[in-house]
Amino acid sequence: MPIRKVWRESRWRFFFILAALLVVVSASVFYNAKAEKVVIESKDFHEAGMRTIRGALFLFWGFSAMFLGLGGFLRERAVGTVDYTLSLPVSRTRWFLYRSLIGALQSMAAALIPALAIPVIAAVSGGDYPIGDAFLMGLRLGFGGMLFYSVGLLASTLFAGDYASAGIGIAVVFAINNSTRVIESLKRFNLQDAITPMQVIDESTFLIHGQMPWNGIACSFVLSLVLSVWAWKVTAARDF
Amino acid sequence: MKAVVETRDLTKRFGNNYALSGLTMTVPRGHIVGFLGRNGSGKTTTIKILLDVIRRTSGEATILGEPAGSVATRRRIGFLGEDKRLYSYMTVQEIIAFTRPFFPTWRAETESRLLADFELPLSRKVSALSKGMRTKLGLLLNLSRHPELLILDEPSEGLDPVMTEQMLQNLVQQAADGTTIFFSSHQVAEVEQIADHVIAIEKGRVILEGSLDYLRQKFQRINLVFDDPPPPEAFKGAGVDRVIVRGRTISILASSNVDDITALGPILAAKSVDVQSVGLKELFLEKVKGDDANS
Repeated sequence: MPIRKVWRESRWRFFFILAALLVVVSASVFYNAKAEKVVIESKDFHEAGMRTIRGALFLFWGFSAMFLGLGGFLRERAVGTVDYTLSLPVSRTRWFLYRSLIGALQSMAAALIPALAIPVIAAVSGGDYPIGDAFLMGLRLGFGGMLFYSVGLLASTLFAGDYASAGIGIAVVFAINNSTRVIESLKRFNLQDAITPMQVIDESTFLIHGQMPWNGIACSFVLSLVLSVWAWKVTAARDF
Repeated sequence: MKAVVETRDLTKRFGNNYALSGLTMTVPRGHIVGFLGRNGSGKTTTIKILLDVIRRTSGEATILGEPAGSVATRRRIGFLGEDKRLYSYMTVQEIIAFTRPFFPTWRAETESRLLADFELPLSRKVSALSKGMRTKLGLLLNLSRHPELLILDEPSEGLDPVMTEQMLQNLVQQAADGTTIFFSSHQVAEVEQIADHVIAIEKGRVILEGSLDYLRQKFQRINLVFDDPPPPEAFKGAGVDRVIVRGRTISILASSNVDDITALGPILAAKSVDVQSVGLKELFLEKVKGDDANS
């Protein structure tokens, strides 16, 4: 029952984000594959797929995941339903767990489905992109980028109002991305490099070769768990 | 007297302001209890603490013998808030289907009866319902679960007189079926109409508590007319709650020792002494004024 409520409240946002990401991924693949050419060589899709996952999908998914983390009791307080929800025989912890897990699953799906769309787009266009590579990259994006989702989750428990939590969430995601890209001492924490490490991607085929490192992904995922626990603590303690 | 709700020294602080300042009260089982207070007196804060929507700063609160907010207790209570806001994206049918499985004591026959009585359109979205219809839906969702305790926060707020009357009659019926009703209001007439027990609060403290019969018996107004009124201090003593001087008349609100206070009249050369019963509205207003004067 609580799961159904959480799903009902978040499904249109999820579908909208998923549709937007599919459009972004399609546009990016064709742009990177130089779609204006009549003949697209197979390897062009390899490069286009890799660039799309590393570039457009990473960037747009990061902000989308943050949006998928928004909502919860403060949002319900704003629309006046929090009293009814909290008077039901379900603990705050369970509500939080259902919301965060469904949001996390939606974030994962929003990473995997667009990534897996790349082989489909390639096949439809007469080229190819390995499903294994797409799945692995999507999975890494989903786990490693869960940090962005938990930023949204935490922002929505700390700040009342959709605009405030979304604005702060966007600023944090932007700051994480840019600081780890520009500041030399922070470059080793860059999530983009952790998710799509160029050292294990063949420069000529743009396909994965060798063992993918998971340390960065694991660190980011642990950090996202820490932020989620923080969000839970805030939810358990605060007044609505 | 078994209690369904008990609070002891309950306090709630928002920043530097105390919404509740040591609230101690008992809601007896099997009664309709009016929770009376001015706007901002702490009624909603108390109810939200009982529901665990907000956390108390200190003190104790129990519902049905369990700490306020326990999940198991929430299965045995109902709640209807002031706004009657429900999930706007659900239809009437969907929100009934959503709520029903939470409550093992749900009565399908009550649901069917109220659906027919209230003429609720099953396929209509909650967002398209008027406040009156939302109240009916809220009542259906709460009464069908057959709770041991039904808590309502300003239930008649924003309703027309017909809808208010219908709602109050439904509460009386539910009480006859064994549910304790605890409803907040700032409408004294509404409380007097259906409640048999009253708890009045002001500035987060109880100023009046007891059955309506008991309060009516306990409190009396003694009016004494003088040619030359003595100072009010002459009446200070046990049982005197409040002394008001209006021209040549001294009006005393007494909670006990009425005979002793009345006997002071001839001693102090009163021209007439008159003892009257006190209505709930008058009593409440006197208590609120007394609290204002004391603070």
